[in-house]
Amino acid sequence: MAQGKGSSKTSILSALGLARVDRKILVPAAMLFRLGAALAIGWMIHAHHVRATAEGDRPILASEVRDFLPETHTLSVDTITSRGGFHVLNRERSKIGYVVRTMPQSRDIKGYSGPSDVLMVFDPQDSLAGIAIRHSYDTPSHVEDVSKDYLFMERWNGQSWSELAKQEKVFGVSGATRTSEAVANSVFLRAALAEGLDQGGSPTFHFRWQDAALILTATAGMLLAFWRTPKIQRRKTWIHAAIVIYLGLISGDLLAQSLLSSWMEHGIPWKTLPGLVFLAAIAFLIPWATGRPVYCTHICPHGHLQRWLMKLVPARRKLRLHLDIQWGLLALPGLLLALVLTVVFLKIPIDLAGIEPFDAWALRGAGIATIIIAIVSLLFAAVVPMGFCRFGCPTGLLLNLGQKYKHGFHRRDGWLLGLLGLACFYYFGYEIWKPWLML
Amino acid sequence: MKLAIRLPILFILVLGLGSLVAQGIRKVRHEQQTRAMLLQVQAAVQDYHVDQERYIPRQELTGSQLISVLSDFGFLNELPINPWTHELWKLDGEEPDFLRYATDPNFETYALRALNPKTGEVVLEIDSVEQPSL
Repeated sequence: MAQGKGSSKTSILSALGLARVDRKILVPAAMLFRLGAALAIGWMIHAHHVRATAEGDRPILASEVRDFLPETHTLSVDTITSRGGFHVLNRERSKIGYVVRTMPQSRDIKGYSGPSDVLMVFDPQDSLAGIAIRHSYDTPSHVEDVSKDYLFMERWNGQSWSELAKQEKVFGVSGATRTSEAVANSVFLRAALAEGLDQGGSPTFHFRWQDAALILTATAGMLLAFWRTPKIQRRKTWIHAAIVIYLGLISGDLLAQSLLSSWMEHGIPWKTLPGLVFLAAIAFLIPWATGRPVYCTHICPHGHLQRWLMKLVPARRKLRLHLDIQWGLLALPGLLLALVLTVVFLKIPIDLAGIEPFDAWALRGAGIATIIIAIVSLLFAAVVPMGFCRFGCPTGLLLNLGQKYKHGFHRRDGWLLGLLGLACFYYFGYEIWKPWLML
Repeated sequence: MKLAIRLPILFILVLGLGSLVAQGIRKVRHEQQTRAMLLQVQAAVQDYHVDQERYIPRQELTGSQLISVLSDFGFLNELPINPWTHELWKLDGEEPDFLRYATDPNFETYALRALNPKTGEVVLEIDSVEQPSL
């Protein structure tokens, strides 16, 4: 068996022309590829979310910005700052300004009969070049009165983000007072949000006892993985039981696709959930750097439960899956990761918590789908050792995809390459599939 | 032998997950179509209000009836797409129609509601008081 694996590995390397390449080069190259691919996928998910939020249901067009900055050629989504807008680029792709729209943030600022979506264009010095009403749910005649009042529309030109954010008093347009006030207040609110002055600003660092407990859990997992003295290993079952009780039954902070995809979209909450972020960092970085799957082997409560079931059920009651059936089933976690990417990019209303059993550990908040998957996965694991981990866990595969391999590249790198390709298609092909989805 | 087992398993997995995605995409497209229809009808209702200085003086209207009125008054240049048939609204009263218009006794406010065909629950609502935007 081992010989078979070795020869297949050699043939893969030969096919890629890498059979003679030194492992000293292959191993770090593979590690760099995995890190780069994971970061690229994460970045594309985040950038797509920022772009979709900034565009909303009425994407900003370059032609709208050209009224203020005639050299406008392309709009490029801003993934660095929290302003949630677009960099304005000229034909040479140099930055010549910045643009945002006030909706959906200004949705609650109503004029006579509804809110208005206002375009805010800034010049390269970050001073307001002008505003325009893009669309309004207000009375059409009032909106027209406001847009034609140039004294009102140009009143804040030349002001910076911070100056706009501090504005309070508005002298409305006569005959359309409420509409014009709503337009101005939308501009002020959007600037304040961009400056972090509204909603209490950015969150501050917060460390609770639960964070300390999660850091302790991650440390215990690492201890079991790396400190292989008999003294520690004898206590392994007790440490695992303590992890199951705390992480599974008390905190319910298991790593899952719903959690990780939300972090990719909205940013990693290291200030508010430092313990959970530490646990996730350990789960990804330790296998990447050392090749040891610390989270799956020593931390995940669902894994421990399967391991205990495996020991409880006698061998004669176990099911031996045919190798070809195993081959087919091994594709499921990878296909589930592709499903996660599809759901995240296309904003499909599928609850990602429902494709894994991990939310069922938080007994009160679990949905029916999650509970069913949890029960089925445990029943399956009772007859097929570690069945869910091997044939059904997308989070486990995700952590394994980054795992260091002593020969350099591994067959599972093909999955990572495929997922990277899918993310690239969704991110760079946005303009192609967006109209088809009617977004 | 290998392919005879492996391919059907792979096919079943892809089909299962693909149907899940297809169902989700259908939901997204339907919601987007309903939103577009509501916004188009809302703009026409507001134009009617500006012109007539009141909302359509019928306390309740179905989608077909509402679109007929707006079309007759010339506030709808083109008929909206009926999200329940994915075709232009026919106005024959025969097609699936889950859009409802309502106004108050003084015709000073309006509400447009898209209903769930199976349960009758309001799926999307746009009105002049609480939710003027989608």
